Amino acid sequence: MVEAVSALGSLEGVIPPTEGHGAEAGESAAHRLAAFEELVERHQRQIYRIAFRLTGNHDDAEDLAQEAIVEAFRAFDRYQPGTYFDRWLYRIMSRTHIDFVRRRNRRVVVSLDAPVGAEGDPLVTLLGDAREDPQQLTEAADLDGTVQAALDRLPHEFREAVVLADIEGLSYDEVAAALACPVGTVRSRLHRARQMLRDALRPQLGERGEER
Amino acid sequence: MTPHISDRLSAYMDGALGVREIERVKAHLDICPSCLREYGELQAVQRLLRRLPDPEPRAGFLERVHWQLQREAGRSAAAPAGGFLRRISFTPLRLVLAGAALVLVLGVPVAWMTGLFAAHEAPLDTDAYFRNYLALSADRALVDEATSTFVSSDLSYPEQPTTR
Repeated sequence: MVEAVSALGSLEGVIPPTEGHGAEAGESAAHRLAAFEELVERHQRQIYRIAFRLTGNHDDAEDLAQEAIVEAFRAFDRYQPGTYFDRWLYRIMSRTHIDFVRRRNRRVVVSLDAPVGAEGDPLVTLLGDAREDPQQLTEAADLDGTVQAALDRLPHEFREAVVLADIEGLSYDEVAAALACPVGTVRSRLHRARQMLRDALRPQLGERGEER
Repeated sequence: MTPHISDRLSAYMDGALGVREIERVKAHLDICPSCLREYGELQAVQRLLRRLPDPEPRAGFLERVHWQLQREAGRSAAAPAGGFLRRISFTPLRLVLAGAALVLVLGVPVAWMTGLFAAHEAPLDTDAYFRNYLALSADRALVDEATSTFVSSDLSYPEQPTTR
């Protein structure tokens, strides 16, 4: 893929080609794909970071990121060149994430009927057998895992707001655009999310420097 | 003392308040230890989130995305606008599927009852047999192969050993 992109040069800002006929159509489709893939490659870290923080594990993060990327590719004709590709993709990912949460909730309902984890901890049942993946096990042991577990327990609307604002550093207006909701809603969701995280992470907050 | 300003603390922290509101929050924080404590805690939460390490995508992530996109690009190329697939997607698909299901559910028992699946047994054509028998036995009158074949297959008699 890298070769294909570099052969076509830098394609960001190129207006997505309109549909043509025959070989022309094939060429423009390849052009469109190459332009899209270059943008994805450039923003893959942010895309993956958000997907991971929203889902809380690598399996779901990759699924969510891939679904959002494919959705974005289907809608690529509506992307306005020169605007932020990552912001545009966050908007798509936010919608994809809602479907994702619905599907996962259905899965959780099924798994609740299954025998509970070794300690009978319902959270272990909900989060699946992290024990089998050594990477997930170490993650759960450190601070990252603790914070992520607290994020996982937030309602998904709150989690989206706090991930976009505090991890990605988006402004209230940008978060509102990504989540397709009013700025006032972003403000209240963000505040509630931080309060819930504060309650969940009290032991981890440590020293608190009040700066005004 | 002014009422607590907890609901504005996050917006204050993010610089998302107007000038007048900023002044009001500042004035309140000067005199309210409980709001000041909450403000410090919210700041600590934000610091914790900002310090989270970047998760590394698994090896081959971009390649897998690439193949997904290739497949998607191939799919959209295979269904050009105005083509057959496009037209069929406009028909009430549910109706078509329901009709197909109905044909399967009702059609199979009906076909069964009307004997569509029954084996068609041709009536025994004795004339044809005897014509065949005469033709076979004409040159080998003592070796009654035609008869033994006919008898063993149709009446399940033990096969007659043939002597040559």
